Amino acid sequence: MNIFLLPYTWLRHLSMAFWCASAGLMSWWGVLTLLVVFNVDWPPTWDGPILMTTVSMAVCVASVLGESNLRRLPIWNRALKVLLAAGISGLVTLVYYNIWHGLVGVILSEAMLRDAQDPSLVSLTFRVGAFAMGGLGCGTGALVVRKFSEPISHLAGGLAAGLMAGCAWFLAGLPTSDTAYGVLAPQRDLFLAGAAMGITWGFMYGLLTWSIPDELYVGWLRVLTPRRFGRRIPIDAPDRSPRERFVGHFPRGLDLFLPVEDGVQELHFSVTVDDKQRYTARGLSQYPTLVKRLLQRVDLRYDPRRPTPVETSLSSGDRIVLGEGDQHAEIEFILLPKEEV
Amino acid sequence: MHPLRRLLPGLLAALTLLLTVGCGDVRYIAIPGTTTRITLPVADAGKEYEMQILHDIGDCDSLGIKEEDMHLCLPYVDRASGEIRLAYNLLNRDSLASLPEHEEMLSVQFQGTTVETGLAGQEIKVIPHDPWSESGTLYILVIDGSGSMAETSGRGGLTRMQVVKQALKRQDVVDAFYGSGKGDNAVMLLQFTQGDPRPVGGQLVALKNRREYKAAVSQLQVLNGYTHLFDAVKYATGPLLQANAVTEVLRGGRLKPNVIVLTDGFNNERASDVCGDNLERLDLLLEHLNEVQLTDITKRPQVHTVGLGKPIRPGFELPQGNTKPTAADLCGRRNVDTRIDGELETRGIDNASLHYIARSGGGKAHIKRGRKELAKAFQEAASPRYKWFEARIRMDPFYLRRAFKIRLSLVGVANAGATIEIFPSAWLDAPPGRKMDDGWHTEDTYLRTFVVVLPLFGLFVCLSYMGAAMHNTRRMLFGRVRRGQTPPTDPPAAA
Repeated sequence: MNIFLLPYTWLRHLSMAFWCASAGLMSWWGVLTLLVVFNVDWPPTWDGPILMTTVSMAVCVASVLGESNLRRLPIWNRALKVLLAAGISGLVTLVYYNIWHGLVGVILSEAMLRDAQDPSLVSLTFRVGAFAMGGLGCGTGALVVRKFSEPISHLAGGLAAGLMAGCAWFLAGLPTSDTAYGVLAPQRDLFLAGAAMGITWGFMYGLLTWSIPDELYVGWLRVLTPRRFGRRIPIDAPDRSPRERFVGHFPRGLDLFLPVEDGVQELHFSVTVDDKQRYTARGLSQYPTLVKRLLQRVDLRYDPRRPTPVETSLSSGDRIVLGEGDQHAEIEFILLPKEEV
Repeated sequence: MHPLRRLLPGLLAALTLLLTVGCGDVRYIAIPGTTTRITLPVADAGKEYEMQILHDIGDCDSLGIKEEDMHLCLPYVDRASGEIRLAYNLLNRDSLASLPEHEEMLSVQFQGTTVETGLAGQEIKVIPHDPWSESGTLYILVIDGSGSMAETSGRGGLTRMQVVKQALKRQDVVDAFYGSGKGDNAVMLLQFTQGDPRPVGGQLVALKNRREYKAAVSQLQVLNGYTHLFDAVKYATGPLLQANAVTEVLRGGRLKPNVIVLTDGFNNERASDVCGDNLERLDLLLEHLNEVQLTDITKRPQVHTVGLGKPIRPGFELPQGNTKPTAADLCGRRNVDTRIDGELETRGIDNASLHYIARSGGGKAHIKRGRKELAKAFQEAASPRYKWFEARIRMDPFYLRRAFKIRLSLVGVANAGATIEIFPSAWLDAPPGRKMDDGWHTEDTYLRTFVVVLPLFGLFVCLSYMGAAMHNTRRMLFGRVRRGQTPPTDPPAAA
């Protein structure tokens, strides 16, 4: 994962999902390869714990590594986090799995227990607990590495991811003769069911547990009109303290100079950022100042009757037009990766 | 306390549990190329043969199985098509035994239920592999010489005896008897009516070459008299094998006896015989054949029956298991008291008895009409023995989604059985089998997994660039990227 490939759009929330889905897919493939190609003959009762642990570890590692990559942490730090995530998620998954396995032995009747303990029985009823425990283990691993921040998101997200993976595995692996689920289960194949399981687990986990934080981005003002096209300034302070940046044609002290020929006044407008990284545009001139966004126009002209300037919040992609007619300058507000600074 | 320290006891417990769960006395064997595990197959104890279900590449190697057949030698479960494949061979006191084709004689039990071809999508197919060429065969042809063989068979005005002679002289039949095996095959030709069968030409000789054989076939003739079929079979599988001329040929297990009996009607010993009279005689014969099947394996004959004509019970099928025949089995309830001579034998041949005899004799019954079909029957009866076999079983795929036991047992041709427990993985499966020309499936290559993994992985890589691509495309379309510009203007220098 690379922050430069993740523009500040809604799609950025899917990138972690795709990244973790790849990890889920590859982990399923890895276990399958061990069995099919390397012919490792562990007992069939180990299939469940090994698969659940591997997918849990891989997805957890992908999430932690993805975050470390986005934050450009030092390599040794990334390695340490990855090892920690893998170790914790793997071991915790095993613990959870075996606790569940032990509980099943206590709760179920003897007749059902025979089915539950059949290592070859393809049944969501008797496997759903394993998926849930795997998901929880996966969430716990990342939760510990992220120093217990957002526990609900991690645990509930992990649990949901595991359960969704179980459902995907069940639906994709139904026998061909079973038509009860109709279009919900268009593909019937136990081979592909494993792939569907890995992908769903990773995708849901990436989507639900950790989203790319805004702190990885900073706001910029960038000139769009021909004179000074492409000139840009960052808005945030390096220490993330609240800050205000000024735009005008006054040659000294302002943050972004725009020529008077473009209809820009000496001190035309400013953009502020607060300690919660909320951006606001302020009109400081009585001359036309317009913020444009989809289906919305906000006039920020200074009104002398009001004690304070007119403000509007800014979001990435908003355009600010200073002046009007032939004499106007256009600036865009855009959120770019912090490393651009 | 550091959170990791709190977790430590739990982690250690998990490791211990992992090592204990699933560790038992049972030894599981992973089948290469699949996600299936099996336990060691168990052969039935106390049977004359030991059935060995092949499960290890070493077993296959020791049988000398060709490289291209090696994958057929190991157990395989295709859960997409519901097919199971097991390969097996027979051992007799630790030495490899050969078997002829025996599809009808293999009984398969799935979780204690007998699998029957045609029932609820079930199917069993037995495929022989590697013809046994270490020893030859002594074919003992016992041909019906009763008066009915002088009747015309319907086509070309040939008598039945002439049809038989032409079929026996066909090149493909002669080739089948004197095939390309390393062992020297031989043929003995006998005819029967009443009493013991008589050697053609008067003397019991093993015909060791094609010229002698063809000369002997030319001497076949209608002898007239009743059809003592059961006596003939009993003689050919009993006293005949003790005759000097035969024991000399069979000495040391150099050749194995294969009795082929041809008739065109019913066992008919008296003019007053009715169909029901044959029941007790058949019982006695079957008892004799069952005893013969327990004799020294190197001298034990295999018995094939060939019926020339129309079957009196066209839809007859042998009942499962070693059940005794009933009078109704032989010629139908209505014909139990019908006379054979001049009545039943004019309507057809006693195909049911021929099936019973063949089953107890470890061979096959062939009911044919016409020269070509008869020739085919002789070829099939002279079919070679094989080293190992594939049993292909088709079930409803639903039943293959848990651990299951399969039991293979042979009846008639040999007495043997074995059980194997199969554990397909609940969680993982290799790619579904590839359909072969015969409609059955075989393992697909592992490379097939790349067909799934690589495109999906590629798709995720592409999707991870999608955000950047869409963002930049949109900015380009909305004119936010560089276009033809005037040079940038710097702010004026401060005064």
